[in-house]
Amino acid sequence: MKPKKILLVDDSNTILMVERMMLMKGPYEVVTASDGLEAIAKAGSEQPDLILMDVVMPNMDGFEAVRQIRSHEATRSIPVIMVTTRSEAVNVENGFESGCNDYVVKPINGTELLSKLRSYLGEAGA
Amino acid sequence: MNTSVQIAEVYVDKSQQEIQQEIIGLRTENERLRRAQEDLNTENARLHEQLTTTVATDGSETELLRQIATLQEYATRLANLYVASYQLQGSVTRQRVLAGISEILINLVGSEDFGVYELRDDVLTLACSFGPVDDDSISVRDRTGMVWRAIETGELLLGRPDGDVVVCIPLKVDGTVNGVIAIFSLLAHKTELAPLDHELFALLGTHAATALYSSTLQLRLVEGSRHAA
Repeated sequence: MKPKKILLVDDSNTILMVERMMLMKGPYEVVTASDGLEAIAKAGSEQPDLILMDVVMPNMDGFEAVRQIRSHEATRSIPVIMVTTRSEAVNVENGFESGCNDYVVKPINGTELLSKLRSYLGEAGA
Repeated sequence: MNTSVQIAEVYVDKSQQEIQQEIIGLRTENERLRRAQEDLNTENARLHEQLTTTVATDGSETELLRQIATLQEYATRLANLYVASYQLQGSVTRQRVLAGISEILINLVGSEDFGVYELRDDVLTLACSFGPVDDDSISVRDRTGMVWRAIETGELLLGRPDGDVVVCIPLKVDGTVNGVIAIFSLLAHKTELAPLDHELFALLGTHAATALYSSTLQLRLVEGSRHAA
C-alpha cells in the first residue's frame, strides 16, 4: 500500500523534528516547508494527503496559506490541521474561517495528533 | 615564543579537550534516546497491527488499546526528549545554544514568558528571554524569592500557577549552579505541568547548563586565540 504523504509546515526546526518523529511510527511519507509560501508551492507540487500547518510564520502566516490552498482547484480538498500556540476562541475561529479542518495546540500531544491525523486520512484505529 | 602565548595555547588545548569530551557524552546520550524511540515505535506498530488484524474479544481489545495509548505516550515523551537533547548539543555557538534553549521552552514546555540567566560573581545577568522579561524584575532581584532560592539550593522549584514565577530550573555543571531558567507563565491553555515537563526540566538543568558552559568556553577560546595572535 502506498504510504500517505504528510506536508509539515513550521518555521521551527524543533516542531518539525517532533512531528516527524511522531509520524515515524506510521506508514507516512513526510515532506516539509518552513513558511506559508513554501507550503503553497509544496501543496501543489507534492499533492500531500494531509497538511499540518503552523500559524505564525515568516513571509506568509498559516491562515493566509490555507486560504490560498483552498482557492486552488488542485489543492482545495487536502485536509489541513492547524498547529497553534493560541487556543483562544478568536484564533480557532480564524482558523476555521480560513478553511482549516481541525487544529491541535502546542506543545503537541502525540496521541491527539495521531488520532486526528488518522481520522482525516480514513485509517483504522482513529 | 613568549610566556603569554604559551599560557594561551595551554588554555586553548584544555578547553578544546573539555568541549570534545562534553560533545562525546551528549552524542552518546542522544543516540541512546534515538534507539529507545525506535524500539518503542517498532513495538507500537506491532501492537497496532495486532489490533487491526486480530478478531479480539471486547476485554483483550480494550487492554490492547490501553497498551497502545501508553506506548504512544512513551513515544511522544522520548521524541520530545530526543529533540530537546539534539537541540542542546547541536552547537557550541552561544547564540545557537540560547536559541535551542528558547525553542525547547516555547515549543516543548509551552511557555512564551521566560528568562535564561547566567550567574557570575554573585550577579544574575539575563542571557536571553521571551515575552515581557527584563533582568531587573522584582522576582529576579528579590534575594529571598524563588529564583535565588533555586540558585542557593540547586533544586528545581515549582511555584503556584498564579504566582510571579511558575518554575525555576537551576543550571548546574559539576554540581555548581552557574545560572537559572525562570519560567514566569505557561501558555494559557496549559493549566498544569505534565510528567514530560519534569523530564524536560531535568534535561535542561544539566544539558542546557553544559551547553551554555561549553559555548562560553568556546567564546573565550576564540577571543584568547585572537589576543594571542
